[in-house]
Amino acid sequence: MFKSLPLFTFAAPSKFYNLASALTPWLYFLFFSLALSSLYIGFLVAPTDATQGDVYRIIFTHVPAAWMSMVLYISMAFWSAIGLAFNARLAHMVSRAIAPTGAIFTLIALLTGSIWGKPTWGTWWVWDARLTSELILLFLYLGYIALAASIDDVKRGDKASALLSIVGVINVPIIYFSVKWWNTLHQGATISMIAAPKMASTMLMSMSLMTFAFWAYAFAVVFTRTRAIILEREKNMGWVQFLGTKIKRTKI
Amino acid sequence: MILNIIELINMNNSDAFVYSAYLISGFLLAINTYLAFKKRRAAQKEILTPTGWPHDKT
Repeated sequence: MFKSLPLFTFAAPSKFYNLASALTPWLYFLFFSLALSSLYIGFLVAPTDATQGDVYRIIFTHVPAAWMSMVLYISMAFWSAIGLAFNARLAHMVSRAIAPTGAIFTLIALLTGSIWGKPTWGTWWVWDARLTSELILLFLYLGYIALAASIDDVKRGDKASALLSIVGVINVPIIYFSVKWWNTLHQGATISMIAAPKMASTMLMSMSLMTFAFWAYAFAVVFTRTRAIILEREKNMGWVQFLGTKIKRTKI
Repeated sequence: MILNIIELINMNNSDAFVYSAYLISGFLLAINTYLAFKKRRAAQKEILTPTGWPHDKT
């Protein structure tokens, strides 16, 4: 039954490579369009906040980046688990490709949060539960990247780093619920799936657009990296050598 | 420009905080994109060079 699903066709690196090649330019275009729209609404349309003034506008990059840092970690752990359970080589490649982008989004969330903290809290950093657990997430990403790079045998490296990412996923609910479980300086969730948003519609619009922009960006960069990893690992396969002749021909 | 922003941050100027947050975000995303493309170019180059072509070694 599952063999008839076209989705599984793309589990083959050669098929995925072609799909990613076709989608990547459109994803970069989508990212730029959505990000520019978000910046336009966020800076020129959304009103100034009554209590924080203009400094609240950091929210349009800080919150989507923080969301992406968690979502990307979960997807990295998911593909690692698929790779371990089904011995699917593409799953490990995707997992490795996600890690640097996840680390960058975590760093953006931490740095923009710190910049926002100075004028609102009066300090760049506090060791509260939300900030500390997000910092641990950055260390988990860096640990994953370092572990994967330090083992020469690709298969062993895949397995070891996959285990680390699966164990580390426990940190994601801790980040998300930290503001509820502990008394933190960091504010609680502004957006909830079950309650009405606590912000103006233009603010919400700008934040949503930036979130979709970051999604498009993450897909685009992860596809770019996955394509590179596929070429590195499958360079002796017939289809990659055929691809090489095609590239050579277009260059001549 | 960066020195001006740092000076404004020291004066607690709210615009400077916002601009520096977006500058850092943009810079990090640009670096990440550059590194991804660099990796892809290196992989592509490898399949085009003789070392990536076992049958061409002879």
